[in-house]
Amino acid sequence: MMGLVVKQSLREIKLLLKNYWTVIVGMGIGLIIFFDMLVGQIYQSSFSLADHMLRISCVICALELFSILFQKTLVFIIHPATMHYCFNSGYMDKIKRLYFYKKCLTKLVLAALICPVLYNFRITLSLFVAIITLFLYFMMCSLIRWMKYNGCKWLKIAALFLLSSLLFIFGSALSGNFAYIPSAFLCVVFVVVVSFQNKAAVNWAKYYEDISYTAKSSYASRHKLMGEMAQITKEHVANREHSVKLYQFPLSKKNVLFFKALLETLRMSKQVMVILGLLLVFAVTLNRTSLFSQVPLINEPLIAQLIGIFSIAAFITNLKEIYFKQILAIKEKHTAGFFIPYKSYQIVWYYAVICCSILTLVLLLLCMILGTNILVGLGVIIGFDLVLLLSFLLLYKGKGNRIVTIITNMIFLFGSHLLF
Amino acid sequence: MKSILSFNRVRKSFGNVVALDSISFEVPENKIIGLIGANGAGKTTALRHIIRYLRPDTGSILFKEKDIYSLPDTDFPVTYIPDTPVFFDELSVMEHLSFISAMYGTEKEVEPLIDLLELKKHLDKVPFKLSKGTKQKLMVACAVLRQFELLVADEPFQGLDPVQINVLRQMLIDQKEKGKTVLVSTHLLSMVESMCDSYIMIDEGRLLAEGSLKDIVSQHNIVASLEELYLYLANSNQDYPDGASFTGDGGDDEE
Repeated sequence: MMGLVVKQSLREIKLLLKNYWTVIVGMGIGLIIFFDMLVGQIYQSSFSLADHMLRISCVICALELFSILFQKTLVFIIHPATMHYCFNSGYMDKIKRLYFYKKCLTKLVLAALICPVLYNFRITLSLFVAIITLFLYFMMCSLIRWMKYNGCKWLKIAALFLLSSLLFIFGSALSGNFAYIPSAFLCVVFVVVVSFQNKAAVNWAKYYEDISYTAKSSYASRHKLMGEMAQITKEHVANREHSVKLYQFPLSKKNVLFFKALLETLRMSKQVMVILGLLLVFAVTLNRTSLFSQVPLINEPLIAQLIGIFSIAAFITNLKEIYFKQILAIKEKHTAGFFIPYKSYQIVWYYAVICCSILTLVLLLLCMILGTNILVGLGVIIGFDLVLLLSFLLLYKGKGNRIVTIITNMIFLFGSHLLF
Repeated sequence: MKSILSFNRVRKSFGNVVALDSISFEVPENKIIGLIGANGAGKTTALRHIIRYLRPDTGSILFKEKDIYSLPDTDFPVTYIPDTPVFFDELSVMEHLSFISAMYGTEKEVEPLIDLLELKKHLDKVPFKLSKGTKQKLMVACAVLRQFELLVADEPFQGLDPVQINVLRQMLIDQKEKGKTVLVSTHLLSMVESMCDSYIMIDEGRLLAEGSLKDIVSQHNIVASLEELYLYLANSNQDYPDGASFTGDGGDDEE
């Protein structure tokens, strides 16, 4: 069975490499540059990570807490077909054990990669103990996340997290033979939790629904089925619980489209927001801090500025695309019989108001950070807003979509240059 | 009889396939009219012309003597129940109803509709979480919450249980009593027979007959039910073997 699981994993990796090799190579190069820069800075400043073990442990604990509270991905991802065919058979226990060992292996590898960096690649007994301790802590947090997923009480979860975090921090802070005591305790806690979890109830119905979604989306992503991926994501996002509802607003004929546009903005995928935000952060950090001063090529001011301009222009064009897609969705529904009794310019206006407001705020902030001349900054903001509005109108009418897109993107690119 | 909508020699083809072959008919005002035809007869194509999803290759469609394509979006007097539901993926059932009622100022009609269509327990669900029947009910609710003169329904009884079929049938009759016109396309001939005032029968994009059942029967000098009448007309039009031209299976219209 292990062989089949490994075979399936290898097939998936092969497909991933085939369809995304350019992205993977790009990310690999990026990571190498990043680590080279990080290690270079550490060595140049005679900075020793080992002197800061307590702080590093606290950061790891904070990251794990964040993961327990907010991470949506499942701890153990069994293939839905495997579960479907083996659920009521004797194989299910074996499968559960198998996926548990798989998780252990990945966490062990992760710990074995992190600890040598922290211990300056000196192979000592302490390093091995640190690897084991970190591995146990990672596994404990994964188990806590699994318990939370299955509806375990918050008190139990909090107590377990506190206990294991304290043991992990003590293990890192103490030196000499004393350091092994908390690690040994952590090991005992882990064994106890694993033995209890083995018998704990699992919400299989919810789990099957979630692994089906994961399998569907990862299949679509591995095969680069963009349309299917978009639909799966759309349905998944739509299915989320929302605290703000459309009917909570004071709706009338004059404002209902505006509030719908606002609602769509509030319900926008957080990942998209983070990616867009990162583009701006990258543009600013590259041009206004010395963080990338060690990185060859991009430490050149001209190149840094060029990348900054591209990042800002990419932010604006993506923002435009997001809102244009929403406007287009309204048009499509209207054509298909879900009539929207507004003129085209009214539909565009309600969406453009929100898009332009966001753009204005972001550009104002950028002007302040980049120290742009006030008049130039205002000119760019007004110009960009007008271009955005005009492009929405033309695109909605379906007039020369490709040319309009190219021209507006060019304007955003050249206009962003004025901000520097 | 005053007509609200008229098709004048409307022809529409998709490549080599002629979906509507210079078809002409009138939709009388303040009546329930059944649009009857087998799969592929051109029913959905005809309805999609009324909602302006399609434009005819030749011919014209008039709404109260005005070209339907010249009517403004802001005041389009037609509402539509499509055969494939059209929703906003991110909006829940209640949000759909609030959205439409706010656009048309029909907020007061929302609550009674929710009760009538038994949508209460689904109000916070998004459309893709709904069953086929509930989706259809939502589509019906969205359609009748609009301000309209003509309700166009393409297979509106699909996916509904017998109780809900009866509710929808009564809703359509109520619309007529409110002075609206209803044009309904369906395979359920017994259903339209108990509800419609007149019929438009089409086959392979051509008009077979139009008028009340009594009129059509007297024109053809036969005594028959609606189903028998349709089969008779379709067979005499197409030289089909007996009964083979009509499939009352409620399947999808791929036109």
